[in-house]
Amino acid sequence: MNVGYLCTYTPKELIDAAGFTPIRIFAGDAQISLATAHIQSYACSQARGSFERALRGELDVQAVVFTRCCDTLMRLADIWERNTEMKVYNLEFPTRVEEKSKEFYFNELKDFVKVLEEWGGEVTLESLKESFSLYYELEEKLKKLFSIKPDYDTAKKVQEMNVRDAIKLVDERLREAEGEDKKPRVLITGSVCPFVEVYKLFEDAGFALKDDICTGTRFFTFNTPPRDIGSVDEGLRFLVEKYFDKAPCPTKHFPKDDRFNYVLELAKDCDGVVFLLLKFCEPHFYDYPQLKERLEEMGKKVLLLELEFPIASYEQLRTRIEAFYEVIA
Amino acid sequence: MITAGIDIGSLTAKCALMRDGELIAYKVIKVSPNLEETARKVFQETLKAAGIKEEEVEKIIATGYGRNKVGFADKRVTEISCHAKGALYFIPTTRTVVDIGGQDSKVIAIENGKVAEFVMNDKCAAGTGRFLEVMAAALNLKVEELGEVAEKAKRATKISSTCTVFAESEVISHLASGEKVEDIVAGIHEAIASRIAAMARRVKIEPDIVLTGGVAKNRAMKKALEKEFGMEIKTPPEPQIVGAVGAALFA
Amino acid sequence: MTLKKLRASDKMKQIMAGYYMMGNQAEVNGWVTSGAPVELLYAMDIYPVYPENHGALIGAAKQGPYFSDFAEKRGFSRDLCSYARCDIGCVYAGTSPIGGLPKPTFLFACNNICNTVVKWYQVLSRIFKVPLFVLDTPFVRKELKESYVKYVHDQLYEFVDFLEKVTGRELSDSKLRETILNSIKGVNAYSEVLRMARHKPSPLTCFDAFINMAPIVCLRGTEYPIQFYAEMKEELEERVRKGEGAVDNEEIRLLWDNIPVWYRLKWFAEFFAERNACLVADTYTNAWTGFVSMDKSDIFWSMAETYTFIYLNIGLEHMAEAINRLIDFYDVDGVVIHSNRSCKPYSFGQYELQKMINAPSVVIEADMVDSRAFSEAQVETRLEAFLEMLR
Ligand SMILES: Nc1ncnc2c1ncn2[C@@H]1O[C@H](COP(=O)(O)OP(=O)(O)OP(=O)(O)O)[C@@H](O)[C@H]1O
Ligand code: SF4
Ligand code: SF4
Ligand SMILES: [Mg+2]
Repeated sequence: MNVGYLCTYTPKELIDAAGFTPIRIFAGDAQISLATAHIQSYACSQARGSFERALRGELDVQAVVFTRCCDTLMRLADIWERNTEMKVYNLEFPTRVEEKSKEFYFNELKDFVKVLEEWGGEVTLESLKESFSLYYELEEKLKKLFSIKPDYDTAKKVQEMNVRDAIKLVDERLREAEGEDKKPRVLITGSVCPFVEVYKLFEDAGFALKDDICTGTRFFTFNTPPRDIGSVDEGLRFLVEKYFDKAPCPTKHFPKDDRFNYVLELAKDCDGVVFLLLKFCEPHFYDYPQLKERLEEMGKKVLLLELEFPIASYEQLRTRIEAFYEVIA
Repeated sequence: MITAGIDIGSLTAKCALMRDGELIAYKVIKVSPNLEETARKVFQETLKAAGIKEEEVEKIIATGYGRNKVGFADKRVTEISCHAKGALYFIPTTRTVVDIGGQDSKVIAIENGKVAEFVMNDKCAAGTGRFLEVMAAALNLKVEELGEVAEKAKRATKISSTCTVFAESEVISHLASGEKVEDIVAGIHEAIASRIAAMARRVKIEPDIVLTGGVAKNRAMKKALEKEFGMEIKTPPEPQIVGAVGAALFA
Repeated sequence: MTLKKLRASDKMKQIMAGYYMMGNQAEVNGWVTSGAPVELLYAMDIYPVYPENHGALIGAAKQGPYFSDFAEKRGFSRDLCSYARCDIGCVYAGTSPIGGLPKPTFLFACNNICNTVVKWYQVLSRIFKVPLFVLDTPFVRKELKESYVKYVHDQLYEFVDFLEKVTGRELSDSKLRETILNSIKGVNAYSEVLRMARHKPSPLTCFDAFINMAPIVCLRGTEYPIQFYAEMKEELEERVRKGEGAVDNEEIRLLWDNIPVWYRLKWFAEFFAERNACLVADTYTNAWTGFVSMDKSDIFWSMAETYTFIYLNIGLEHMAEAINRLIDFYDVDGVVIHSNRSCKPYSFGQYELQKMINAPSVVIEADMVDSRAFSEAQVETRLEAFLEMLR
């Protein structure tokens, strides 16, 4: 069984350990039409576009996990459940990401294991250990690949396949990957962007890339070293830590403003920062003005690109990206 | 009894004169900023066409978005109810009405001869006649020509923008990259049809589906909609005056 | 057309003027979200400031676009919640229709109404450089799990520590019990006012409920709402005795869904009154009436339950159930659904709810504060057609 998910805070390891394949769901190329009958047009096009694919029967997914994220996805869970044959479960990742929420999330994970079992899966100590090490391997290899040269095509593909195949794919790409000459470097920050042509536009313009995108490095940037576990519960506690300490996202609340600090740190060795934001995405748009201000204080040039999926005009984007390049180079 | 229905839409004003449930004359004119004057004008012209004096008209019913500006009307009814009634007049088996006007499109579900449910487009103009007009202008065509041009298309260019402003620049960039005009026009029709079908899915769609409003005169639009709905669509002989006829029947 | 005014509305204005004045004198104040457990603040003599209520006030004063513009100029997108935009805009403008809100001592955001408030308050905390406490309530899509309540319950204790640290004061148990008792009494008094709409004809419209809801939001836990709503109820009873409806010749009874369109309240009220239709109730004000089951033995536990299972923090099935209860209780003929661009958690799912509720409904598109998202002709046509359909 394939289990779909939308948010990178979803504990893929558990799904894999239960014997299912976690598959990330992205918006597609088709115009959003069927979804319009179920959700208003002021929902972001990642939500509408993903749901559109479900309604069109394009997803080979039998269940979907909605990990608590933004208001839109919170409501989409019910809408999805009512209009597809898929099983739907909402996993309440705490919005407050700090020590005191860990116990709560641990209990949420325990409940999730039960749900996976109801779906016919089984999480054992052995299967959990295996999934942990596979995902760790994948994440480390992706980090390595991206440190040579970011590869968004691969990053996207691995999110839509079994972790075992994903590792093979990254291995292959690692063999071919080549570094680049020195070029002006841009940090692309934002929500999701599975349309890999967009990154290509930046490369065509002459930029070297670095990103803080939910479908890019935020998918694999974890900071918790692997450790041996003696029981499933211990494994769950490890997962709590791993996900609490991952690359932070604006849908959460960190008491020490981790999110801002994270982006500011990433921007240090970049010449410019591009906000690649999805129209109607509240979490990112609330951060934008103040984050932009802080970046400009650091002397960075900033550009805002507002997208809607599917992307209507790459040419328009190209013009703006090239102009930005001219400003920086 | 002679009754008049006056439909003041966002782009055109329509008047229908009926004698004992029989359509005797109608007129369609462009709307000018003074809606009351527009209403008078279309009414007078229709009277003239029918050779009837104003005093002979017993009841005047106004509809359309300018209905409240028609001071001389006896009654006002929304275009939702009027299009339903008008469609039933022309095609008694109507169960679903799709009206595509200049600024609004609406889908009306009819049960037992009455409006059971309806939906309208949101504030933006995508999926309306206005959208077609903007695109026609961008392509240097007349709206009346769009249907014919679209029928020549071998394929339809994908138009992704749902916003009129963005779609316009998208169309221009397709032109610049050498896409054929007819393919772009076909794409525009597909985009509108998909918008309308999406909206229509919020109500129960049952055959017969009847297409009304000025856009119904565009054959390509009808075809694109039939493809989206997967059902045959009927159009009355003069789709643009359906609302006015419905109004006249409300007397 | 002149609308029938309730005497209570004048009294309400006085009370709220007093409330705002109190704010200027308060030593310690916290900016709080509308769904936050304010009882804890009143119990410690901390003045609660309600940016959302302030937003509504700006909307009613038809100043939404004006103040929003101050935020938009700083880069805040027009697609964000208009309460937030106006609030942030007023901070940058340094004023508002009531001269701006007092500077906060601390911020308190509870995400039981939306996640938007978390982001909005983060913005505020960076502007004012004051501490922010986020009370995180898990979303109750299906069942209210004990683990959810426990999580919230523990945070309430933590919040008390936070308050004690910020203010240097101590929470007294008896004062808290007294405040909660007042809160329950106030909520009950308010519920009784709303329930008067069950009479035919109804002595009040949802517009009366909207206009007079500020005390239950802002002063919940004090004596004011108890007294105020008791008086308001008397006035409504008087109408019922005289057989007087809020709307002449009430023919159609309706339910309103979502936050009101503040800058058009009067327009809507007149529109329906002229057509002998009465919006007798709404999901917004009725959301405030769910507090009645406070268990006195473990008040923190009951508070946690109450504030987690709040109207906007529940799944569509629960919402449909609540709406159907209202449809039934108030015996309405139809539902007017405001698809509110600003409020995603309140609006997404409405198309589904239309299929889940036991009455015909119509959707109108607008925004609660930003009048640029309102098209009069479109709304008018939809509502008129809906009334024609119901007749
Ligand atoms: N001969 C034609 N061929 C193609 N399209 C046409 C033709 N005549 C009119 N139209 C289209 O019809 C539209 C006007 O339709 P209609 O007269 O029904 O609008 P309306 O009633 O004024 O608008 P609304 O109902 O939105 O207020 C125009 O935008 C135009 O695109
Ligand atoms: S892009 Fe933004 S609004 Fe859309 S699902 Fe992601 S976080 Fe939510
Ligand atoms: S998003 Fe909705 S619930 Fe949240 S603050 Fe805005 S109006 Fe209130
Ligand atoms: Mg019309």
